[in-house]
Amino acid sequence: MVGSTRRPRYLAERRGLLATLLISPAVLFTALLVGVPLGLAIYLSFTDATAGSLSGKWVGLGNYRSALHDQIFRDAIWHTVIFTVISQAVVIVCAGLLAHALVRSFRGRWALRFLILLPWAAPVALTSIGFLWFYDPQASIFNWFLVHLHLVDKTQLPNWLGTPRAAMSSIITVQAWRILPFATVIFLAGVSSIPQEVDDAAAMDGATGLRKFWYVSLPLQLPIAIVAVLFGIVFTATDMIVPYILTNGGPFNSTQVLTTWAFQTGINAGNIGEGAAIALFMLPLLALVTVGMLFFARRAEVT
Amino acid sequence: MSDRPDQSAEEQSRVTRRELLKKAGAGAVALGVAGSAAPFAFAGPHRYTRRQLKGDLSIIQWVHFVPSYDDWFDNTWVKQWGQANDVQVNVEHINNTLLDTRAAAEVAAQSGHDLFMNLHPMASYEDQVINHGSIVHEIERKVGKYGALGHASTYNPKTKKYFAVSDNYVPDPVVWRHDLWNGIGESPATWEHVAKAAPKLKKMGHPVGIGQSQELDSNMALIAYLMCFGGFIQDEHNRPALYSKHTVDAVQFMANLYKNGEDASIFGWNPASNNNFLYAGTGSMILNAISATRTPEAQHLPFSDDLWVWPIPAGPHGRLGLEHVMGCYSIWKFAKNKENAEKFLADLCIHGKDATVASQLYNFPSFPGAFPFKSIRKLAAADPHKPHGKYTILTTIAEKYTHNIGYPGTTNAAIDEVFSKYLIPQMFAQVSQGKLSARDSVRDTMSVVKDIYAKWRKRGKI
Repeated sequence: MVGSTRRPRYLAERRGLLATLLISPAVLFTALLVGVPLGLAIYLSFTDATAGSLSGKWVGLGNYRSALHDQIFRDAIWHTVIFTVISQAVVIVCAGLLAHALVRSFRGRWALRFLILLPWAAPVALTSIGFLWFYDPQASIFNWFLVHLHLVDKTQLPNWLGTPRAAMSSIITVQAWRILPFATVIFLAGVSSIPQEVDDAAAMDGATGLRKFWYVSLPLQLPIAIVAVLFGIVFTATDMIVPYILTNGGPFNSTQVLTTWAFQTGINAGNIGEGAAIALFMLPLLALVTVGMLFFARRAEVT
Repeated sequence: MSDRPDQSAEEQSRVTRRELLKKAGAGAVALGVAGSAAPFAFAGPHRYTRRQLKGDLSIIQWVHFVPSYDDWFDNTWVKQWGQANDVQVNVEHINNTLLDTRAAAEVAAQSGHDLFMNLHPMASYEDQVINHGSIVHEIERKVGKYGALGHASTYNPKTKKYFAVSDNYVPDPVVWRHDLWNGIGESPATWEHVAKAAPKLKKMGHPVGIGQSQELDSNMALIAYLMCFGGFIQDEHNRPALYSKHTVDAVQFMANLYKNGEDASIFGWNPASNNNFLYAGTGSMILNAISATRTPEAQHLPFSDDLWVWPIPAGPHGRLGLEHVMGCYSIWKFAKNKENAEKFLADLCIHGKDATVASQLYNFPSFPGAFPFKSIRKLAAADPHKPHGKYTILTTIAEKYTHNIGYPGTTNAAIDEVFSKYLIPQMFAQVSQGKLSARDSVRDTMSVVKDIYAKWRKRGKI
């Protein structure tokens, strides 16, 4: 009957109530595990709280001023940018290539996809410790290969974690390796979602190779690719595990990023307030990046 | 008219994003209230079914580098003490690198273990712990005076408070390959000797290994080395004193030593690296506790009999060393079983002898009366490993050359921060790698150190 509505017989059938019930745990979870610590961190950054204490004397912007005055902090901002931008650039290029390769049908495709996903499934602390052994100053397996392939002299072994450039390159490599599977999967979803008709139409119009990629595939993938890039940037800029385990910020703070410096200042050195200020420094910047990228993604949406 | 007959009804029942969030928020509050009430609604199971113990005691400490110590602590000492005092003792062991993080978490939560052991005095936690003065006095009443090292490390003269009690410390000798050094007619008696021998040793493929990395062993070795040259982070009044000609000379001397007698791996070291450097048969000399010799002995490495243990080489200012690590127990103000914790800690220190024996001479008692040096020397002389009697020197190192971090002042929150931020290895490494001159590096570091001291002085802790 036209216009007739059926009244829900059970409470659970009422859409409003059901939606409320289903989403409440997620909202509660987010509020408790993200909102409360974030609020607390903002409060602590304006206090002189020390060593684990969750309160302190109000110092206004004192911690932010003190951080900005600190050369190590200023270097850490720069290192964070380098660490994030280069590792994500590597990830985008590699994930794009992999996605286009893996979307094709070939023997062993699923096995290869599984292998590429493995680094994402492994706990990052464990894989970082694995890389610590690979880069070990005395027993590096990389060096072993280089020596046995006669690429380097035994007396002139690369010092992967001991010089500023090599150490930064090492942590960037591990971070890129870690994020790559996630980005590949997202890119792959983007490539797979392009309808065959679009490909056929492009082929009929004579678009092939790079032209097809630039004018057809890339615009269609862009919205979903931006999601991968956005997550990659946030995961990398806020990550401390890889630099902490591999270099602990060294040599002489040349791989010190904001997260490791916040940890050393707030936890190891007992300046919770200052540590919170350092940790929060990236928040407005990351928020801007996020808003900007989402805005861009929306504009890039192909309808 | 609508294309779909039920569309208007669907629109009516559609929930907007704003409404959904409102409702979800209300639901979240309801869930939260219900969840927070849960602990009051359910009682936990009774723990003891047969007898009522006087109480509980929870302890957290590191996984000892010498496994026999943990075996003795958990299976002998704790069990016997628990039975004698009718207390259920629970011990949690965690990796030493996680202790600082755990301490911060316990304080933030205002909940945790009754006894918290760390490998360094937690001076910055002074406001969070009880005054341990009564425990120190109780131990002193039984075994005599607190050692100068323990006192300087755990007592704040400014606030007149013991913020911890040290039960043990670990002497930090130089461990060197006698066969290699003897081959070139040298020994690491002084830093001049080290500088002279290092190029020859490096040429032989056995460089010297003193870390310049952001890790514990580099920190300890370089601060001790600096003191031998008359460079000190602070003076006896706990005022920053790093910038001096002595410090500049020491940093330059170390840069030359690196250039001529070490390899670049020292900049990427972690706390296990100097040991591995030795175990691999590469290193000819490192600064480390005797865990560096115990492992080769246990594994019967071909050069284990050639590993000699000596005091730190003497510098222009003499022979001044640091403890390698220091066992320091603290009782939080929020600890639930303070009395049990106080008694356990006092008894542990009073029975320091058992700990030294169980740790195979790794732990030395911070209350020397608990196991006098003379008796330790006797025990060391009986050690069967070659060269016989090599560990007897540990008592001399402990008695004469072992000082606290912050010597000639006391260990405090400011020096703790300088240590935790690895400012000293950084100061050395940037000169050794040619990034800065020795003078500039020391001056820059001094500027950071000054800020740190000003901050803690403002907080009334130094």
